[in-house]
Amino acid sequence: MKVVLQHLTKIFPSRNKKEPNAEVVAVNDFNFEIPDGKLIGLLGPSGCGKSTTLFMISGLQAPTSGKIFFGDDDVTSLAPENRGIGLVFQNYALYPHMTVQQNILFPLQNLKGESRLSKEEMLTRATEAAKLVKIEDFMNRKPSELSGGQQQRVAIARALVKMPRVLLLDEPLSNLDARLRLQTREEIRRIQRDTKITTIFVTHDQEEAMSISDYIVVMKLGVIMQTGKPQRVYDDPENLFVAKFLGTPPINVFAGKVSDGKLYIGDESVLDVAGVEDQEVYVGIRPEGFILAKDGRLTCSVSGIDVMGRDVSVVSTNANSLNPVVRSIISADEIANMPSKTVKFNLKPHKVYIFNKESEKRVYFGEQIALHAAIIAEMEAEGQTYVTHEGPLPKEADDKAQTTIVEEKKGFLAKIKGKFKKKTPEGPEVTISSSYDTEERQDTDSEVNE
Amino acid sequence: MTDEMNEAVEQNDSAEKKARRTDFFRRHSALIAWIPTAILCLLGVVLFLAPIGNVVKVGGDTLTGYGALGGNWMEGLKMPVIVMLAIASVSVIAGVLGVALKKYRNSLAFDIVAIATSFSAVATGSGQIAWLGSMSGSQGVVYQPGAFSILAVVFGAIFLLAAVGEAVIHSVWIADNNQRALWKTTWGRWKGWVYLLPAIILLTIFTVWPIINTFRISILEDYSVLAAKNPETAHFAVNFNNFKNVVQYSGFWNCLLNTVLLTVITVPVSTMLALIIAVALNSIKPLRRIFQTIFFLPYVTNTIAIGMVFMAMFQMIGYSPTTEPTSVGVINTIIEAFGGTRVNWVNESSSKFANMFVLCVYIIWNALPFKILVLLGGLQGVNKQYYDAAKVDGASRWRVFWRITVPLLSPMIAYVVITGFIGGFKEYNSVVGIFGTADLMGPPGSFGKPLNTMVGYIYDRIANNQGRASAAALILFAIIFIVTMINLYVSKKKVHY
Repeated sequence: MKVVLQHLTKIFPSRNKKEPNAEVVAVNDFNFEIPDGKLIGLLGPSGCGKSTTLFMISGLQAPTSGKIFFGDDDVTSLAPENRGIGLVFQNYALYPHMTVQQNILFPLQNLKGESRLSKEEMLTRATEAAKLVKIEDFMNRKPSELSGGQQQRVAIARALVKMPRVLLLDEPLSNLDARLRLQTREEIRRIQRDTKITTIFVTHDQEEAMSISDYIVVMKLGVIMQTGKPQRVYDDPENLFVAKFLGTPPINVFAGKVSDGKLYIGDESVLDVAGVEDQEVYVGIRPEGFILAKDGRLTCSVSGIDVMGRDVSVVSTNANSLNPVVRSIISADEIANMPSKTVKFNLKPHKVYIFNKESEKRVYFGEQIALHAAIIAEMEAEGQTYVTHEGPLPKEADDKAQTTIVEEKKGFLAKIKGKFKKKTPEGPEVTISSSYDTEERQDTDSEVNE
Repeated sequence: MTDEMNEAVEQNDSAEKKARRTDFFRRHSALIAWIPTAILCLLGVVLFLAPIGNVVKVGGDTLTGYGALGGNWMEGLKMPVIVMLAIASVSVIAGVLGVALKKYRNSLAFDIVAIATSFSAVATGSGQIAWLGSMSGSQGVVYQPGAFSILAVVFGAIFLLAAVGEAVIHSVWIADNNQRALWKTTWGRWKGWVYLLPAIILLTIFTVWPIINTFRISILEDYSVLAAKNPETAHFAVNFNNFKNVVQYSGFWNCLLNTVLLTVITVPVSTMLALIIAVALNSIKPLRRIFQTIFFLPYVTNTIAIGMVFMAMFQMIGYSPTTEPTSVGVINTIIEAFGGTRVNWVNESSSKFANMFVLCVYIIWNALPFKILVLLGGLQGVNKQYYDAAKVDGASRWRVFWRITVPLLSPMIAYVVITGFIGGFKEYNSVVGIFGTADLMGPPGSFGKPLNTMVGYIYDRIANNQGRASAAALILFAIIFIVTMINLYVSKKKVHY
């Protein structure tokens, strides 16, 4: 069952009566077609509207405007129970007083009329669902007697037992520990492949999304930034936000400029970019895009080396870097050639992305132009529309409404504090660092966010 | 510093640990050290209450309390107070010095204060006893030292011993740092009990002992305090006749029936109503607070006042079996407005059914706020996601209520039902509230307290026959115990914690 979202918009009205305009646009004109039988990851920092999108598809929240189609049926105004969806909540929401079996049976027992099954049929269906997620041995246990991963699987079984047309997963792995997370995401992938149910799952963890999704949808502030196959989006980011959001360690961003077909970072000409107009740019370089070279064109001063087994991450600094440090991954064999103070790099052209400083949109050059065209062609060949964000990117300044709500939540004291708070100078630097200064980033890479 | 030491001590091998455990002083030094300092306040109270209960008979006059000490009652206090103040100031100086020297900071100052207070307690008590004793030399003076004076001596002596012992332990035994660390771990082990001690003592005096005493009195035939005071009648046969007499008395069965009826009717009804109201309150957003306040009003209103209001609502003013009333009351007015005939709810020669109805309405209304409060609190603690999940699972409202809300609320419901039953069996003041007087316990003109309850029965017996009152109280206790056991047994199967 394909799912089509047309101009889907969700606006939360202002909760502060004094500021009626402080409404929050959680999801803004969301257009996307989710192909049948695929696993789609909705990806973005917290507050980007991905969960809201999911809840609108589930029917638990009504869209302010726009339409939702399952196949050809318009389900926009249907109640959740009539949509034929299975929803797995972030903390599973298993009924604590029911056994695993009762939990799985519950959706079936709610069926009425013709679709109601006999008791034996219900049991068979529940057992089937339990077998699919491999929890048939725990049928008589209570959720509290299960581990996190087992609870997760029960939740999936409960969602699957009524044979939904669409399976929705809200941050399904965030409550699991790292090892279990790896295991469970493979499990989800397997179950999805076995059942071939169109599955949409929400996550803020780019690694998670990239590893199991057929397609990912990167969102920011309620707007789709880019869609596509995970590796393609990683290789070919449309704008600075997407480039920064995907990848660990995160991409290195430098302030630079293009002049006479050459890309400059500071005074150094680091790459030839023939055909690109002269402009101020941001240069994004993936950590794997550096080549250690004695006569390298980019100079950084070394501040340390992180050994990660197979690879080595060189931590260095550059005056033009917008990140506190420049991280470059080189093979462990090359470490012998490492100078101790200043290090020089050459750059791999396909790992260097340049973005216009004003619009933060990608400026393609050289072979990248052909690759970009190929990716779009590939998606269209699969019957998928390549969606990317048109027009100016949403900036943090648009985010003002959101902050008012947050402040309101914190209460009166916070408001007073806010009044005396120093105003941070607004400049491109501030905007950039705060745009991926999200909670999730902080725990994955605390060094980048000071 | 001390934490490290603690760890070091804990890492010692188990043999040494064992040896340490067997050491009596080590085990009890914490306890002993604490008591004098913490009981300081208690002793202060004892000191000033000491003269209470002292009785001096001079000729025909009886002087009690401070009066027993005559115009010079201060004499009994002066000496010990001076001693206490002197030692206390020394101890404060010593304490300050000790802290300054960082040597005996935890022990010595406290020791000295403890010794001072316990010493002054002994001095006060014995001073007063001596003072009263000195008066007994005079013609016709009989003295009787009060319990507090004796307490002051006894407590004081114990604490004095303890404090001295503890001071010795501190100075001799805990002087070096290692030992002090050891002392701290011991303290850590006993601390919980030590802090509980005041509560245990008070509970023993005011709860445990009365319960034991009730058992004792219930098997003394026709025990009463008055008879016990008189040496001629102070012999009570030990048997179960109190129970027999209580059960054989016809009024008792009426009381029991009333109590059981009221409980069995009001608890389920009020619980159901409270559940419905709580769920309704939880599901609305506007005006919730106002409704919450309205439903909570009975809780903050005096029960007797509510009873009087109910009486006014149900009462017919100026009514007797022979005369027409001048006013029929709000409830009857409403009934008549809907075309019904008025009911004699609470007036003379009203039926027991009508009386019970009024009582039930009153008790239910009175019981609602607490139950709503508990259930609403429980509801607000229920994760909203269960309801979202149920919505996705297609559960109807009815099924959500019975399969999700009620099971998730079951601990609260069980709590409300159990306390409701216990409260119901203790019903008494509602009857007084509605019918206005504890002597009548029924509508005007009735005899034999037709609406009396178990507590009412016990209360009636307390005045002249504590033996039977105790027996009745134990019977009530047995009933409540059995019902609660049944409740717990049922809730074990039905409640999901």
